[in-house]
Amino acid sequence: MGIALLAAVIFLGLTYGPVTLSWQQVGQSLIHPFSSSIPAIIIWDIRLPRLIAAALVGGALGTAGAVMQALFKNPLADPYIVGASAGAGFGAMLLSLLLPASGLMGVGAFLGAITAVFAAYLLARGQGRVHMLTLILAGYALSLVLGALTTFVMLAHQKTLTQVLSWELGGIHGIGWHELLWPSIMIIVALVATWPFAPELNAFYLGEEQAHYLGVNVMRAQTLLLILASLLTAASVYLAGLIGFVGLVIPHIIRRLQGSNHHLLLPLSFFAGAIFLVGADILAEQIPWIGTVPVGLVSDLIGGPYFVYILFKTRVVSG
Amino acid sequence: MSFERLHCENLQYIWPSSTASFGPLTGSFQPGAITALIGPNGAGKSTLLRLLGGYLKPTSGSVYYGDSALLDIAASARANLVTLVSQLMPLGFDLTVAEILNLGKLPSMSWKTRITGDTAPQIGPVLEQLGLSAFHDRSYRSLSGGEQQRTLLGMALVQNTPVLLLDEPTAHLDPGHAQAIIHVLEDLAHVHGKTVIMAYHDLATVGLFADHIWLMQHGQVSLAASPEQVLVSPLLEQVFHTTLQRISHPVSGKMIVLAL
Repeated sequence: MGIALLAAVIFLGLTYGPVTLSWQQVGQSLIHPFSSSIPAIIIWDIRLPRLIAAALVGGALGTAGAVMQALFKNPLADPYIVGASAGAGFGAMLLSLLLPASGLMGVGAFLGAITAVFAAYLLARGQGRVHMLTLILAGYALSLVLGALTTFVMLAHQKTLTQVLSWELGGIHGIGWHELLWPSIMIIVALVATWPFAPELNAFYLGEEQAHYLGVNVMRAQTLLLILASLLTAASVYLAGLIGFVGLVIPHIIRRLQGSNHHLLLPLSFFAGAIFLVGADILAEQIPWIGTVPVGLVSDLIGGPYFVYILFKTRVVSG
Repeated sequence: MSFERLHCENLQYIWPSSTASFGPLTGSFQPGAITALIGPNGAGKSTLLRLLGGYLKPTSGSVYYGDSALLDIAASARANLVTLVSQLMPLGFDLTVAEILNLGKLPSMSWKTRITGDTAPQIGPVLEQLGLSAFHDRSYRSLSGGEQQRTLLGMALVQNTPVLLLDEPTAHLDPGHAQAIIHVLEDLAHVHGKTVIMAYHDLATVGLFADHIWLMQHGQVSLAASPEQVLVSPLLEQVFHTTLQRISHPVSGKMIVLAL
């Protein structure tokens, strides 16, 4: 069902854009991938890689969000909670500054995101056990420092400022097959490795101590899941910049519809995240009177109000 | 079925950043019997349970199951030997009663089950035993304290370990359900030969079912003996700082201790 819906929305996306294509043209072009017709070029070189990137990024962030929320037992946790976004921004800025013409800003963001998460992890580790609350606080402190450094450097270099800001808005416009290859492999490997941990993630709902009595090697499972969620996040950041709210909102929608059991939550968060971001990307490609806008803006506009709703609900429940 | 004996040798725990300490303690727990840990708040009952469950790593000494040091056993293998039913805990996110009971199978889960999550058939008898059959798909958060307590015990029963540790298992239960739970624990110990160890606060009822009582104070065991020996001891008044009256149960003749 998830696969069929995702295929349907991708097919819809292939028809829609600055040049509208008929369903027949899309069908013909998909059957003849090496045709040199204009619809085939639009579909195979422009729209399909972009839509697949949107699906992978949405799915990866939805899954990473579900994992982070279970690890931190926190409904407001998202894939960036331990410093990935600030790390990505810092890495993108650094590469853009040091190698301005290299086009390696995404690589810088990937490395920055991964490095920030592990720096936060090492800071929180201190002596022995890593406490999840300490990890969030360490990630927050690191985010503040990296965010301040990024802003400081960007203010001093106006050109970098424009590049990094436009990257941070989150866009997959113009992505090609060669940019898609390695992040896709990384996302698929991380997803396949994450799904068998559904029982451990369920056990973490009961707390670390109860997970221990259920035979979970708490430290090892937390570290491994943090690595997998960070890989999903960093690969998404590489492809699309900072896409907000998908990782926060999608797992909550699935919990409301299907419950909190990770056996369903993980795959459904992937498909719902993928469908959501492909839908947002279709809208972002052709906003009336404006034209193409970064997909991150559209996802924020839809995700933002729902985030406020969650905040309100949480306040009511805890009050 | 006979199981190995759980015992601890020179078990000591010093809390980080604190002068408070537990132990040193040497002692063993008999399979096929219920051992109740009694003592005032802060006596070390929960600490001992967490040490026995391997959650706290002792500063010195060890807990052994038979000849094997518990901490040397891999996490999933250890969870097939010992588990602990905690006091009520808030859930990060909601799960159904069946989903929580299914977690009891985590230590022995196959890779196929990990992905499909299809483990439903085996929890039926436990649901029935604990009077939870009607709650199969109910959310944990919507249950009363007593129902939540029974659900957590159900998870441990599905886990089916030879050693069962319980932290105040009847604290949130009405007298009827409390008695039903005690009967379940008696069955596990006396019929199935398991080692049942529980922190227990109710002096009025502890003598009715416990086979052994450990009286604890300041992280030490002051007296470990049969209920008949512990409940008549004047140490009981000293440890609890109150005057106690002892009467016999009208049917079983076992001792009931009441605070005056």
